[in-house]
Amino acid sequence: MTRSRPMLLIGALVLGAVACSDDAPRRGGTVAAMTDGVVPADWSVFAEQARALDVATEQLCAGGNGEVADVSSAVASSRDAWTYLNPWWFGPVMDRRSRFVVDSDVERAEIEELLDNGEPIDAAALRDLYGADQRGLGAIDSVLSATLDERACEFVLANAELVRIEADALAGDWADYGPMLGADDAAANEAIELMVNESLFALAALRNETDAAVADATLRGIEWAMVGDGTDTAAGIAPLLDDDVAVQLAERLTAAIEDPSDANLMDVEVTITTNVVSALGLAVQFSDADGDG
Amino acid sequence: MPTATAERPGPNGSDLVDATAGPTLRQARAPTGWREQLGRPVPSASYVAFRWAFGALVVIGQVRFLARGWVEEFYLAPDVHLTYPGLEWVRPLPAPAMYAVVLGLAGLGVAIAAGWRTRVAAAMFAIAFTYTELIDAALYLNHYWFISLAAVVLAVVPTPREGAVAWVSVLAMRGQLAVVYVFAGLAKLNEDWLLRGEPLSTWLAARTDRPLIGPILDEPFVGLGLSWAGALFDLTIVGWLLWRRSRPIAYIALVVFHVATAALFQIGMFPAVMILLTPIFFSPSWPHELARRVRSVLAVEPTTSLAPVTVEPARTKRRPVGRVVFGVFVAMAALNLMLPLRHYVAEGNVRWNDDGYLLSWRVMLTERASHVRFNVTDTLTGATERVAAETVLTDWQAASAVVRADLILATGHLIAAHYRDRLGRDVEVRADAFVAWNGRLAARWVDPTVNLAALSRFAPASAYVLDRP
Repeated sequence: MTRSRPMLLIGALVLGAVACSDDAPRRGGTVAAMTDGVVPADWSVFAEQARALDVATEQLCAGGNGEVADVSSAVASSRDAWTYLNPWWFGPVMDRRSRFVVDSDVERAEIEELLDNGEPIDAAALRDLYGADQRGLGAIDSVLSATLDERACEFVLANAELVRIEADALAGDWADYGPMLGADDAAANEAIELMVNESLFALAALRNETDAAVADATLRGIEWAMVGDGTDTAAGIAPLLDDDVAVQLAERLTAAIEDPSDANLMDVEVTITTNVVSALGLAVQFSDADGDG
Repeated sequence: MPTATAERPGPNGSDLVDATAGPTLRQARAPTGWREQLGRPVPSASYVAFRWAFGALVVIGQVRFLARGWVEEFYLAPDVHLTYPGLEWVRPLPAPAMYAVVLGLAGLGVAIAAGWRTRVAAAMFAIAFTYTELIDAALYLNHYWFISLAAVVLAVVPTPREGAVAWVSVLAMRGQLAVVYVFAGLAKLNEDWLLRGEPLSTWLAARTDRPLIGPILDEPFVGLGLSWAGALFDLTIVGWLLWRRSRPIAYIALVVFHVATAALFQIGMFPAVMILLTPIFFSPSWPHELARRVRSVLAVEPTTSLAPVTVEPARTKRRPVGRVVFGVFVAMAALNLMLPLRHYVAEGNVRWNDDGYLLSWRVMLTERASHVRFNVTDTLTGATERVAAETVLTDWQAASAVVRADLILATGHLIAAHYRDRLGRDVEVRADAFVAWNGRLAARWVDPTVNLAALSRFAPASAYVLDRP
């Protein structure tokens, strides 16, 4: 009885300390606030935009009331929705290699070679037989700038169908995958690390980006994932950061969205790779911790 | 603090000495000089156990190195290596020879464990192992430095004879281990560790996914409490291990401490090294005492090998430690004291600028996340190109290079050499480096006006690292 008293006392102190401690947000909960519903819904938005693009291309090529401008606009909307989701280009996106299907950099010469070869073109052929530089949203853009003959229409239709199928698949996959990310802290840690890394890759790619709309969508997507946009109950990963880090991150993202200059992009990159990575212990580098592997 | 066995007199004043019991009180109190004291015989069992454990750890370490493909990845694959100042000439050997070195190290581990030409094997091991560690500074680990020092100790101190070994052989190993704990503890006496609980708080908060204790790891009191516990542990564990009455609890605490750190952090073989080698703090005859207890529990008759070793005093008489051994012993003691303290004479804070970080047991004191780019300026055209460390380094080298100030300088030199080869003329290299450390907002780290290419590798950190904000 006497011996058990110190143990009881220690146990009570620990329980008391836990009970009195501040109610810090859990990683699982923070991630779940984003990935249970909002992120899958954003993937559904992308799927809707891709379906609209499919319809627009069909109308254009059916010779009805379709206009090239409508297709161009639909391509831009699809690209905006896809790019906005840049921080979430992992999981199903990686599994399906979607970034090489939806909107890779294209080669005009490769596309012309495809158009000239006379082989039937459909979504399956584009996915399985041709390269990333011959398909996707960029490929549609590339063809729309020239005269649209029957062969070009066949190509545009196939690409629009390809993007629609891909977007539908991603929306379906994310509906199942998203809620798993916030299920516990282990999954949440992995999700945060992936999301932050994708954001950094996206920021690096923006240095060479000439399309202002792409830069804007990318940065808004990163802003939402990091600090929220003030309109959702989810506030990105900011609840897991100290206030000074969250404030600095928000300020620098706002500045970059207003003016995506190299200097502003660098400021965002520095804040994420130093303050955010450090605060969340994402890629803990034991500078002196005797780690060996 | 005297050892338990040293407090025990010989059996009935007999001329025969039970070598498992350690030196007699009369021997211990005899008015002799330092060299005689250090040469007095004690049971060799704990020395042999240490040797076994050390050899086994060496073999496991080298097999692990081979099995993980690290010979190729760490020594052979990189185009360039991050060298230590003045040791740029240390290069990896061609592939077959490099593999032979690692296999040879494992073979030397077997020889050390078996006690076959221990001193020669340990000397060869110390040289070859240190060579492998000097190839790339990004591979630096505190416990590798300990392994090198322990091998030197084994190469220098007298080996067992007739079941006894000179007291200096046990003392030197204890001293080498004590240095690790005590200086690791002293290094923790800073405001980050004691007042902010950093970097433990940051690291633990990222481990809430661990079973059982995970959910409380991000509570502020946990990081701070464990920081204090860790500092107290490091500062006092040697004393607790030496005191016979606290020894069992102390060793259990030591095992729990190192197992816990192994479970929470990626620290390789360090916990195993400390768990297996610290029994040297026990009585010099602890393996025999343990065997006796096991026998009594199992009710097994003693075998020859496990029986107490009784030797004639003539064979265990004091042999003063040789002048060379004594000299090396003193030199190592001085080295062990000076290296960890040298940062006090360097300019700036070692936790910020790393001046005095190497070889000084500053373990797990800093969490850094950095952003480093190098601006390379062509001296002829004035054009500036912005590059990352990965331009010349592999990913694992770069990961270390961007969180250590000395390696940023080394990388600057490698980038300069890379461009010199490409352009056929000198370039200037400046670092655009920011670092967040121990939970502080990131700040500029390296002076962006300093041309690293023109700076000596021996330059103090204060020549290129900005003052701590």
